[in-house]
Amino acid sequence: MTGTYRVTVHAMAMPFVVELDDADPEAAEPAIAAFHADLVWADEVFSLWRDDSYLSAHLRGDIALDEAPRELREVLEACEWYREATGGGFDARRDDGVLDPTGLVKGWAVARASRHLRGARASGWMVGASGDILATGGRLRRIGIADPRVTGDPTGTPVVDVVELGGAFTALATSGGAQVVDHIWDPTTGEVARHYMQVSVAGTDLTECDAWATAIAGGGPRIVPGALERGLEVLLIAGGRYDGTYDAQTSPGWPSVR
Amino acid sequence: MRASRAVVVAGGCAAIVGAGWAVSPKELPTLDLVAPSTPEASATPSASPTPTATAAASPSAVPSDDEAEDDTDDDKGGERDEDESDDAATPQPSRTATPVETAEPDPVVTPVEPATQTFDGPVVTNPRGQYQARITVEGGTVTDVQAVVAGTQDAQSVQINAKAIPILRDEVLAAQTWDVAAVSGASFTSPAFIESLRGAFGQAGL
Repeated sequence: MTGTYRVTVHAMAMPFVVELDDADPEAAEPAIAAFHADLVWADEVFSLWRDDSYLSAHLRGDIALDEAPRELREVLEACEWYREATGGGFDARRDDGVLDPTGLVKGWAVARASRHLRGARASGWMVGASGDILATGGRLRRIGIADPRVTGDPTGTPVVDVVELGGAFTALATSGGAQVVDHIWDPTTGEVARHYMQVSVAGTDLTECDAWATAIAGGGPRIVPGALERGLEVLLIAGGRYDGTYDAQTSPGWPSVR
Repeated sequence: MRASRAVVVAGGCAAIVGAGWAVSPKELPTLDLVAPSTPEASATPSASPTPTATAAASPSAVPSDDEAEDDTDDDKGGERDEDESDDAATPQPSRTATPVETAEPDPVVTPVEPATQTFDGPVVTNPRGQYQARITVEGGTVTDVQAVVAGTQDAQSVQINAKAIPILRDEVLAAQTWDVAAVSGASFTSPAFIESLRGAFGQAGL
């Protein structure tokens, strides 16, 4: 099959767009089905919106970590690891000290499920995971950064910046913005975090980008140097102006192609 | 988190001073720490990377101001027009930046304008320390922007400011239509999910 095969699957109440370039026509569908199944499985384990998920049961104290799939422990440990790496900016602990890994699950689940896409024998692929993007190297893809004012699916809306993925950077995550207002807390003060309107992080590991974007949105500018030290590049939208444009800062290597 | 405010305020100073850049879009101010509180740590690293880093910053300022001012001056007419327009332009950044300097008009009246003037902004205080910006004006154009005070004396604040202030490039982003493969934004839910929610609310009679 030549050309791009594009399909949307739904899991975790979110749309996931998969794009396969020049995929094997017979292998494409099973690969995407496996990808989808992996996401559905992750939802069954990690969803806080279902009482019967392992995570819900674990947070209620009904089951010990040993009784849940080992991936649950893996993600909880990753949360703690990122808390340390981001200097406390990413903090998954709830008020009562119990870990709530929801902030990390999507990026982690997509990175994990994407291994099935290799089965499609495509020359390249891209996953648009409800705002977070993961792509293969090789072909350059232009990715827009959503206007922080846009609610709902930003596809097709005017964007504030355009970056290229597929070269040095293959993952892009964005936090904050208009989708869910004030859903990130500053772990230091315990107040709603309003450091930035929107934070985008580009790198090569979607879980890492996702965690750092959340960390910077929650912890503010003091978290930024840590991200830069790890070779990540950031776009920070600080605030809106009267004329409808935004004040923003980018790190020197931000892959903008505007 | 406290430290974070430091940079926000420093950015704020830069934005205020930005009004002055309209006069000279070509001059690229740099943001340096003039008076580092600890001897070696801060000032030296901040000096070198800035010229390139700030390069993208100034086009953001509105260039049209310049012409508008020229027009009004033209209306007044007169030979000394150029000097006047320069003079008229000069206090603009100083007024926005320094409410302190009310004595400012004096040097403006004098026909012979000092070659280089510096204007200090008000000291802005927040829990993380004090911040003050200084601009250098030469013949009506802003040639330099510096931070006189940034943060507190404590080592952490100095270190953070020294690191964070020069490293980031300022940009102004405008929403535009581009041909892109995908859009990155904060997580959003499926339209189908929203639809289903609506249905559920409908059934519940809400």
